[in-house]
Amino acid sequence: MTLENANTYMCGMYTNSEIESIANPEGMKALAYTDPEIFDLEMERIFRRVRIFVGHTSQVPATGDFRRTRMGSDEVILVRQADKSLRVLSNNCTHRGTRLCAVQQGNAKSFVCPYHAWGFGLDGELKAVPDLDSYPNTFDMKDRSLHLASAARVDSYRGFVFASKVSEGPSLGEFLGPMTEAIDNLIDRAPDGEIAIEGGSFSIRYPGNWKLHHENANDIVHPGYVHESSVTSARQAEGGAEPHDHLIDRGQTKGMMVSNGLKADDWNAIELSGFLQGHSYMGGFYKSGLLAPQQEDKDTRIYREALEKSYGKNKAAAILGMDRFNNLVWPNLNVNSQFHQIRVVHPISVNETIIEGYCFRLRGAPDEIFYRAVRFLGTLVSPASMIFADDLEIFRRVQSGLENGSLQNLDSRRGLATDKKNKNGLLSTTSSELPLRAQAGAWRQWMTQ
Amino acid sequence: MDDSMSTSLILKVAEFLAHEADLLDSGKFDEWLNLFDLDAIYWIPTSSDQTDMKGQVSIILEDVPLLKLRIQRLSHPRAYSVTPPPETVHLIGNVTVAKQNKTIITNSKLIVTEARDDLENRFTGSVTHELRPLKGGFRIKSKRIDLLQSGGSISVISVPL
Repeated sequence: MTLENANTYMCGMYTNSEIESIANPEGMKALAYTDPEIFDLEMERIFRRVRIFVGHTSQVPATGDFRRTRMGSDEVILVRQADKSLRVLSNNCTHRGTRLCAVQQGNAKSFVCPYHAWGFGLDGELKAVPDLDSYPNTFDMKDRSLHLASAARVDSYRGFVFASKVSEGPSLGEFLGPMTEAIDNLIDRAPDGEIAIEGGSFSIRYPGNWKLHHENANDIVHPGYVHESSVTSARQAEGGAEPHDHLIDRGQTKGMMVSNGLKADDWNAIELSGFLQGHSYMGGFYKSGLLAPQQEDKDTRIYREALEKSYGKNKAAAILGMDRFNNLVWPNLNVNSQFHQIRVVHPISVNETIIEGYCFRLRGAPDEIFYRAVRFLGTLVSPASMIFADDLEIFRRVQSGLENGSLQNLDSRRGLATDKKNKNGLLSTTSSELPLRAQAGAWRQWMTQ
Repeated sequence: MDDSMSTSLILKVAEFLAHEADLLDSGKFDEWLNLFDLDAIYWIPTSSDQTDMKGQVSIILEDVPLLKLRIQRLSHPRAYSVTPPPETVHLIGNVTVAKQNKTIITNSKLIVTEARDDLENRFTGSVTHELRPLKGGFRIKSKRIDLLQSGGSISVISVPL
């Protein structure tokens, strides 16, 4: 078999009509979560083509600043160029494939391989090869195949950087669609109109497929069951969920745990929106009174006044009142504007995923507002989170359940008959698995193109 | 080691740490929490040089009311991350003791192995306890655990360390 044939063979394992049947809107086939061949196709057709979130500009402000991250299973380096533009480079030396950069982030003038000291510029060009005289004259350092592969498109939407390894495809604006509003809202929350990732981050690993995370994030029925233990414990704990100055976080953690205690009536009050690009978000919390816009204390008052000074009373109220939670940008970003947080999904293998969590400092807001974002991140995404631990355990059980192979099809028909179409996508009218169908739709589209 | 540090004090501290570990391994979480002062702090930072509790995320930063909530969840029948109930071994070694005024500061190394279902997790780190001596024992004023890879990719920590 020639190499070309081998590739055809690999990618030809599944025909488009087979993939279409796997991504059934009424429920994905189980092998989408368990088959390594499907995972390889996902890396090829989704994570190397769709816009993948690779970082925030505040993480690499100056020339030479870099940050190691991933586009699916590919390790890449986000690096600030001399002309201030951004590049996303492959983190593999073109000589022996060695992982080039082993530190998480920093500032560099060049990337030098630890193995034989091949040196690459910030733009990925091969700049130095020891013992060049021993190479034949067919070896040309200007040969692009010897440069670090650089993602074809790297674009930022107001500081949120997305990369794609192919040059063709929807613009970043078309890709993000209505999700730009979540990013706008997060930035608008800063009285100075600027935000920066600060306060550290979490990186947590679970033994399950990457799709399980986004499928769970806007599932509104699970909290009442999966998070029952933390809801009940928080409700019973002394002092309730009221803020108290003597508590380490003034009751914030307890309040977050209680807020998962949704009942059947509440599920139907939440509005879910889903889009053709695979994105989705939850709304209707404030409108229905499920969540009250937070009780004002000294710090939130100072913060609100700073916002009003920047934007005027009406716009400040609209910014703070935005009724959208868990803005899932498919396939790998979750923006929670209210709490100044993002989560990033990194598929590692068909049954292994890393979730990263970050929070933002809002320029012009009091320190206390930032401290609350830090606290929120710890409560929700720490490996020791009393909330997320139960989600991750469920992902583990779903994965091991699917891997035993006895179930062929999952079921995602909740709300199927009552979802409404609008111009951008779908809107739920009851508790619905609409976000799953939006994700499955985008999956099908990219996997068959 | 401080010359004036008596061997008996070191032994008492080591015995106290072993007792604490034993309470955790036998699931006597209420008794474990009783070892803490009411205003105690339990801290697992995300880096070994972390001093900032507010502006830098922590794996755990909790006071006694929150710890109480945490152990209350452990006994809930549907706390999925701890069902079936995990078995643990807290192994403690390399105990050193110093005195700062009336407070005793003790450093120790910790290896916790957790087995549950078909999983086995291991958490390794250095622990610093601030202890307040009292008649016949100690109370914990603060406990800080610096885990290996505290800032890296780690799996779920459901059992108290």
